[in-house]
Parts: sequence; C-alpha cells; structure tokens
Amino acid sequence: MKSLLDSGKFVGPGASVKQVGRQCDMPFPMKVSDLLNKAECPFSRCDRIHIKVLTNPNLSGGITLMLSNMRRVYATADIGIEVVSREVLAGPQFATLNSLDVGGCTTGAVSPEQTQLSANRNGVGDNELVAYFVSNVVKTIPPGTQQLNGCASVSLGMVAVAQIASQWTLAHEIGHTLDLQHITGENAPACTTQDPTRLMTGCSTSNITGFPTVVQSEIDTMRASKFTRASQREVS
Amino acid sequence: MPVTLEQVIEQLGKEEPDYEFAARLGTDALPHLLRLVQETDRQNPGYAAKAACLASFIDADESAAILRIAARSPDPALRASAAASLANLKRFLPDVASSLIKDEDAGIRKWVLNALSIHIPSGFKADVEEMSRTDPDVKIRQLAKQVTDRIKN
Repeated sequence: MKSLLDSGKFVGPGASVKQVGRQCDMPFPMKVSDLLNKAECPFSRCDRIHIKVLTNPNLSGGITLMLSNMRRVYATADIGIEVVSREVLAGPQFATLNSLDVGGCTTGAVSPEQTQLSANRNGVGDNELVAYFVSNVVKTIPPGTQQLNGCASVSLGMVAVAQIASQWTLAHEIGHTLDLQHITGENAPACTTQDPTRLMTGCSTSNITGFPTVVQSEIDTMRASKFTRASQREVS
Repeated sequence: MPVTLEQVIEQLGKEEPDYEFAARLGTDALPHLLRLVQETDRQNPGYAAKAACLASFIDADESAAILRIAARSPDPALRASAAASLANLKRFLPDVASSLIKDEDAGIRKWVLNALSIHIPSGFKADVEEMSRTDPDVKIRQLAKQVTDRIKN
C-alpha cells in the first residue's frame, strides 16, 4: 500500500487523516486504504511523480524535505503531488549518467545523456513526471562546463536534481516542466532586485525565506500543463 | 571595493548560476572560493562544486590551486566538478588530469576525457589508448576511442 505521504493527500504537519477524509467526502467510519485509493482528492488537480535515485542529495532532510516543500507550495495551486514509485538506479550502466551532461539545458533541447537517463522509466505512465537524483548536473554548451542545481526537460517529462541542490530545487525544476519560466524583473544575472518570495526566482533559491509563492498566472499555467491531471472530482 | 563572501554566495546560490557573469567578480573572489572548496561548506555543501567551477571561469593562477584541492576531495561530486572545470581553463592542468583520469568514478573519467578533447594536450595519448581498450565502463571505452585520435603523442 502506498504511504500516506506518497499519496500526496497530506500536506503540512497539521493534516490529519480524519480531516483529509472529510475533504475527500469519505463515508465514516473510513478505511485508510479507501482514502488512499480515492483519486487525487483533496486537490482538484494532481501531478504524478516517480522518484529515481542514483545519488541522494546532500541536503539535510533530503528528498523527503524537497517533496514536503513542493507539496506545500503546489497545494496553494490546489495541485496535489503523488509519488507513484521510488526506485534506486544502481549499477555500472549508470556510472557515467550519474554525472549528467545536460547540454545547454534549454527549453526544447535535450542532450544524449538526458535521453539515455530518461529511458529508465519503469512504471512511468503517460503524462507522469520523473525526478532523477544524480551526483552532478553539468551544462556543457559554451561558454564552458557549468555545475547546476538541476535541469528540467519538458519534452522528456523529467528533471535531474544534483546532489548539491537546495531544498527548493525539486519544486522549482518541476515548475519548469509545468511550463513555468523564471520570473521577470529580477535584473538577472546581477539579481540586485531579487524577489526571494517566489518559487520561480531566477536568482538564488537558497535565499528563499519562508514558503515561496506562485502567483495566479503561474497557477493557471501549472494547472493547464499536460502533466497536471484533473482529479475525478473536477472531471465530474 | 573588495569582494565579499556574500557576493560570491549570491552568485553561486542560483539554481543555474551565470558563471560568465559571476567571473566578473574577478580574482578578489578566489580566496572565498578557496574557502568554500576547502570547507565544503557545512551549512550548504552545494557551494563547493560551484566554487570550483567559478574558479575555472575566473581562470587565474590561483584557480589552479583551487582545482587541485577539489580534485583531491573525498567527495566525488566535487572531484567531478574539478574534472569538468578543466575544460574551462585556458592553460591545461596535466597533473590534475593525470590524477583524475584514474579516478574510480566513471563519471569523473568522462569529464577528464572531455577536457582532453578540448585542450588536446600532449602526453596523454598512451593513457587514453589504454582506456579505450581496458576501461571497465563501456561508455568510457567508446569515448576514449573518440578522443585518442584527437590528442597528440
């Protein structure tokens, strides 16, 4: 059975099973398994994500913290985050991909290594996203080789997250797969006018204080993405 | 005005740092980068790999010392950054390449081969030919084969 957290129905430390059951219109007494099997509720939309780990992040709290943070931000867009599967990718076939060459990491272009890594899709369904956790994410288009926190590919439905990532990297990169761009008006790359309250800041996510926001236009974009599916509740 | 650690971290903290822009901080940033690589910053270990990368973009004499320290790190992610950063330097560092080309991590050997294919230095042909035949990783053998013909004896 899927865990309560991976179901994506529980967001934040205060969420109780009873409370979520009510939000999901469950009859009481309620079986937890019935609640977990109920599609996507209590959110009107849901992103389904597969976690595939070559190298765990250095961050204290690791992937659990990144997912928790992402859930809390995405909940403000009424989008749940369901972790469909977790897999460790180990073995010699992953040795070179663990230090991933992402080419230019630009929209619409993917590198041969991104393509190779994304071929590992055990159990990944249509319009489901995969987060690959790797040692290094390296941009290789001139002016040189460059270490990144992560890189998203919309066309492959994947993100690569480096070991050096911040607690917001996963949420930020998944945001890119949902067609979100870096926010404007930050005077990047100087970043003298950074807005540290926004998830899609193009400046330092390490500077984010508290829980970052997504504005209404970003929410509309996220909800319209092919990777964000309508729940049974919204369909009916 | 002297460059502060905060200015350096401001640049390195980005999801996708603009290293070319950050390199405008100049050589005054190098002591901070050295510190970040040496300490592998306990609060945010993400800065060390990026610091080595930025040092290579600044590309001063002191940058080589920073990459040498990164190359000796027990952290494979930092060694991978050192290996990848070799390609960014105007002057190749054969000692760093010689050590990292034998690294147990295939991802790191891949970045050394990438740097060799860019710098095309002399003195590595025998090593790379050997890799193309005997490296345990099939992708590294293929890459080494491609690089062999490009580098000088």
